[in-house]
Amino acid sequence: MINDLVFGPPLTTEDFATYLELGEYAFSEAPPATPRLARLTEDEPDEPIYRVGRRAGEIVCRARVVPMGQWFGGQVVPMGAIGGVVVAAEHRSGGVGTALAADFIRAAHGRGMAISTLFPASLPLYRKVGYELAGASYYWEIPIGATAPPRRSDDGIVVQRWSGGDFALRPLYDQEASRTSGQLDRPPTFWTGVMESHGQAVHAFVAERDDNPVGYITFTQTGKYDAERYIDVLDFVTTSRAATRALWTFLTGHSGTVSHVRTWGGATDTRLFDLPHRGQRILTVEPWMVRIIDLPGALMARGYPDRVAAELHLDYRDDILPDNSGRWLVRIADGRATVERGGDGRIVLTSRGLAPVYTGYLPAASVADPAVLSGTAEDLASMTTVFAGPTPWMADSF
Amino acid sequence: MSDPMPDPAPAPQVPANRPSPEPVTFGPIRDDADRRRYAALCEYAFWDEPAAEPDISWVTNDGPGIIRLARRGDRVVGGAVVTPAGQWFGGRCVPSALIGGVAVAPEDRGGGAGTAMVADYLRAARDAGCAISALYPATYGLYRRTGYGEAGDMIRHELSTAALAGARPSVDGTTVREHDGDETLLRDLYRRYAARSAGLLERLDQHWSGRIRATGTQALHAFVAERDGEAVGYVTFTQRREPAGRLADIRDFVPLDRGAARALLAFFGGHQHNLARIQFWGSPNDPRLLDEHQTGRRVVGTEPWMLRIVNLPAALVRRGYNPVVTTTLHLDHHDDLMPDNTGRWIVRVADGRATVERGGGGTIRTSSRGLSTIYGGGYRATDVVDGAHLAATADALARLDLVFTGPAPWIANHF
Repeated sequence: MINDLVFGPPLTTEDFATYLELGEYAFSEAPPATPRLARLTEDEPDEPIYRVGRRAGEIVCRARVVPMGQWFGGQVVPMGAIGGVVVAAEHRSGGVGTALAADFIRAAHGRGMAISTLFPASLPLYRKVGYELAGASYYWEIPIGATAPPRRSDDGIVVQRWSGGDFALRPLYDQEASRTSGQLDRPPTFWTGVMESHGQAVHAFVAERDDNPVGYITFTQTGKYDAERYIDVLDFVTTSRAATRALWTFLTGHSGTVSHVRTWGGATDTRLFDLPHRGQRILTVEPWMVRIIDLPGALMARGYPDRVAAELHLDYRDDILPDNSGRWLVRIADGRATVERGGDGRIVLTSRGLAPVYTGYLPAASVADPAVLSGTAEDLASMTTVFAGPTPWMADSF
Repeated sequence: MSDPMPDPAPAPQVPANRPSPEPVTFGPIRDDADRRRYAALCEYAFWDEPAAEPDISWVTNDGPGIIRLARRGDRVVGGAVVTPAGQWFGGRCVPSALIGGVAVAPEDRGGGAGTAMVADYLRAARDAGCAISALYPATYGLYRRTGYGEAGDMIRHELSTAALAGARPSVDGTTVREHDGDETLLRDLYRRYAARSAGLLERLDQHWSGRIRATGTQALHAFVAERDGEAVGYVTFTQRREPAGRLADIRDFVPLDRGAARALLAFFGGHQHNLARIQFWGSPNDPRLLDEHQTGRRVVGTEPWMLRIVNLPAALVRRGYNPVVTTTLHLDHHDDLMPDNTGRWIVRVADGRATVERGGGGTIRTSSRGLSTIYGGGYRATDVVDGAHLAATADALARLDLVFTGPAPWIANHF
């Protein structure tokens, strides 16, 4: 029975204590005897929407939606980042998770989010409510001896230690993030995570040309001297291949004391492009899922390739957010889309069919499947062209 | 275009106590001494356990692979195998020279023999009608210098069978049955699958060994996915025990649609009591994993491959393109090693095809490495633009992205 679930925000201190307890049980390495209430304000960024589900007055599940933004096609798309999804252990396997997901999807819609993104602990649960795999972040390991690319004499880039805090680095991050698919439009609190690391020393260095910053790197060092010792990259942001080469050369200077560099990146990552030897490998892949929350909003918020002019005739179905359902005519020109009701509905799709194409994760022909996306070969080719872009990944997680 | 910042060529390293080496010459195998010498060089360079008497059975002038040997005087100092086959791009098969066995005697390395050998085998590839060339690099420097570009990474994916269990296999009526051994059906399914991919081979007879045909004494299992009486995909695999449990080493995983991929993955979910994991090669963000049932995939191998345009007009004319893209590219191409490719070209793309002729404004300046990098669709022009190998206006880069965008390229065979 899930009809007896009532959803809403946590209201009282006791509600928040229960919210925290559920999280400690699910995620903490060493859950404390009493929940740490202070963590809600310390660690939770930027006015999250907290949701709990009650059964006979008792809180049995919880989640949060953090409004932020994600870059696609050079524009920031309002995105609800889902985190902290927990169903109390004694209430699992009874459809509570699905009901909770439907609730936070509606909550994100109510806050004006265009899409929602999450790192799934379970795929079938989120597929059931319209999420689909739509991006993946790869954790690369590069042997330090393989990092020195050939220097070019006119690069003219110097690398210097940076102690000026994150504020001056943000424009560089934004500039580069705008060229990617999937990077976060970082809330201010996320900057803490790339400049500090739980008591460990974080080192920051900036690449400069003619006194102008053209890239930066922040990292910690872990492991044992004389054994495997790592530079663990938090942020590696460059605005040109010359800047990338300069930072790799800088990292190679650590070859006496460090064995490997580890960094998050994309499935194909041009920052690894100028490395002189083989040897880089992928250690981990973290796929993420996207759900379309506001169909016209999502289509109008993202940017598109400048040279593409196309019309997409959608026949869309959304059981949880029926406002999205129906026929839509999408016109793409000059890098933007307009969306209005109507059209021939030649492409029949749901959120699960649109999301992996929308982010540029896969071509439409690879996603096509009777239940989620169907259309003529030509319509699918148009769709692929419209949404094609860099391979989507995220330097952050939540 | 003159390359303003070429990658530095290695300085020839000639030991002072030795006379200047004789010039390197190239040619086919002459006799059994050549065969033994080249086989020994290959085993020295690549084999797990080089034999005292090398296997020379494959070293012949009559195989599908053209063997080119490098000599100083009468001494064989290296060699390479050029196998003309095909690679699928944009729904069409492009004649491609698959390069393997690039070996240089250890005492002759660093003297420019490798670079000269690449130049020689590229001419052989062009003479054999190849438009492009592909290889798995043992080193980047040599191949970047000779005009190859990074095409992409092949990824070895691993899934636990426990994570695949619980998927409903027959939600769309797809069933899986053991295959009766008829190669024709599997070859046909593979070909249809390859035609939609980027980079997969038009396989020669040798490329089916170990894929749909057992090698040695190990059992190769084959299962076909069917829907409404039609075959819609297949999988072949061998099994072996590893410390972490039994493993299905998948040799071909060929679903024609998502329903077939789901059914074949669910089929392995039914093996969770006798197989711990499955592994297979694929592309990054592999579309076959869109239907993984549960989280927990791992990456257990990363294998970069490189591509080179051997015959520029043929390479552009023979591949297919997104049928809704219509545009014109004005190339100013520079290829030191293969001067026939150098110069200005007008490339008109429409209805999924390209025409190429001499001339045009040359607004997109490319080196062989630059154009070869974006040709396969693994990297976008906008992301790899760098004055040395690819230089163009933002508008021209956007047009290049449109023209070459496609599925992530990979190969599925090693050579």
